[in-house]
Amino acid sequence: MSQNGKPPGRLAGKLMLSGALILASGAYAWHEAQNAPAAASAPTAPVPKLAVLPPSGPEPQPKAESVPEAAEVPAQPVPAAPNGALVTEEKATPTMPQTQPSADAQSPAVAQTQDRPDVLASNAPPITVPPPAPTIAAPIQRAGRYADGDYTGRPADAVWGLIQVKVSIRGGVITDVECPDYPNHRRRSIQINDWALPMLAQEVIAAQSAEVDIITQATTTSVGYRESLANALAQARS
Amino acid sequence: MLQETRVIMGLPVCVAVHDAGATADDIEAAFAVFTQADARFTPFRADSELSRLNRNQVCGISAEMQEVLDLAEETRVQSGGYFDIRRPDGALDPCGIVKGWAIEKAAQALRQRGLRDFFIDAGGDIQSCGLNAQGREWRVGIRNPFNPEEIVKCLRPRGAGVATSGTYLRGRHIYNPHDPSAPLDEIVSLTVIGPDILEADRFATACFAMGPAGILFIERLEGFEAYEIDAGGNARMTSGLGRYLA
Repeated sequence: MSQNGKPPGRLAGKLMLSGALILASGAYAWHEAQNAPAAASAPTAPVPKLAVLPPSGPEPQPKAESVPEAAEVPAQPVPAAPNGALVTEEKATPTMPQTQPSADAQSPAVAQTQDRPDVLASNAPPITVPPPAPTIAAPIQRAGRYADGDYTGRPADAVWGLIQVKVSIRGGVITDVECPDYPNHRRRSIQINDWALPMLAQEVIAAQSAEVDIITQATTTSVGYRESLANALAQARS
Repeated sequence: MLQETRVIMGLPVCVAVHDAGATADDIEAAFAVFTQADARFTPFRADSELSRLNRNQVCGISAEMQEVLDLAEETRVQSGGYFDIRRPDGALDPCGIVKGWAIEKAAQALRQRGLRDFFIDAGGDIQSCGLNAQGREWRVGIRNPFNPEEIVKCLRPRGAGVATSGTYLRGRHIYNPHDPSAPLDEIVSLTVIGPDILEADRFATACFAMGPAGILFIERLEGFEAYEIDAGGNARMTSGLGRYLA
């Protein structure tokens, strides 16, 4: 949604945004995996199955994930890993450093290589990332209603664009719901740049008195959201 | 004082009436509007009018359907195409407008029953009328998209509708306001105040899709004000918002 006023940088912005999403969610998942008692035993910790979608690809098949993008991975300066580390051999082990989510510009390469060692190995021989075999090969654990893992629902229309929901299951229960792919495709013909833009008052948000009668907030309850969520949960059941 | 919340159309819908003498029938009348709208416009039931319309299995459509389709088309034109209920597969999905439309209809139903002091809140979109239980103007707080415990702005709509569009789900992991690397022009929340909730809701939805340009669109829209929060925790507001600030 952000690049409307800056057409030339839109694609780059989208890619950076995707990268930020990927890395941050990956780091978060690792962080969670470390902290969650059930996942503390590294060999069975579920690997974060990241949703790496082409930013504008309304491809309704979630399995189509990141293969096209992965071809771009070698072009990225992989060693410039923020916070140290997702690409070095030592640290690609289950004993991950507790990295905070970061939106570093180089993060797409880092996150993807970390998640797709097979693709990286074929395209970028100099960087050897041992596949975190124990986690990838780990059998799915069934501790509750759903099988542990991360599931990405197929993209669904949410009135103003496609939406895609990712569900994280830990210990058989839903621990997180994210929207890695959020509507921002519909770019039409508003000629906003031709307008004489007014100067709007700005402020940094700060907590106010909570003495209110009603609270207004955004709800993510579109059909598309529910469709994609239902699809992700159906995967978790199967 | 009567207040009740039910989940309808996948949303928590709260109806509160503070008129002396209000009855459970009044609350029921408001909820009936939502359940009827759900039955007519849900895409999840094959026998809804919407589903039949999308299968071309209707000869003639209801006045309600026509009204919603007309409103959707009007919004599409007004928003330069940012609001569009037609999906890529050609099917119609008017969910983006039915919520505000149903709140407005429910408010009309309460007014027709002689009620003056009430509010209806469907998933965070609000139509308030009259005064609260303390005899004061209704106060509507804008929730902090990064911290659900916090209110970052307090509005007194005085009969206007208040609708917020945005994505709170993203704020949690990625768009931390204290993370300086977040793309600062990413809008996470857009609250629109309009003449009534239907108007506020349809422009909140359409203008959120415009990104940073959305609030500029509202600035030029007579009778509307807006408060926008970006991923860096910065807010922008339209020039006339001050008259609604508590």
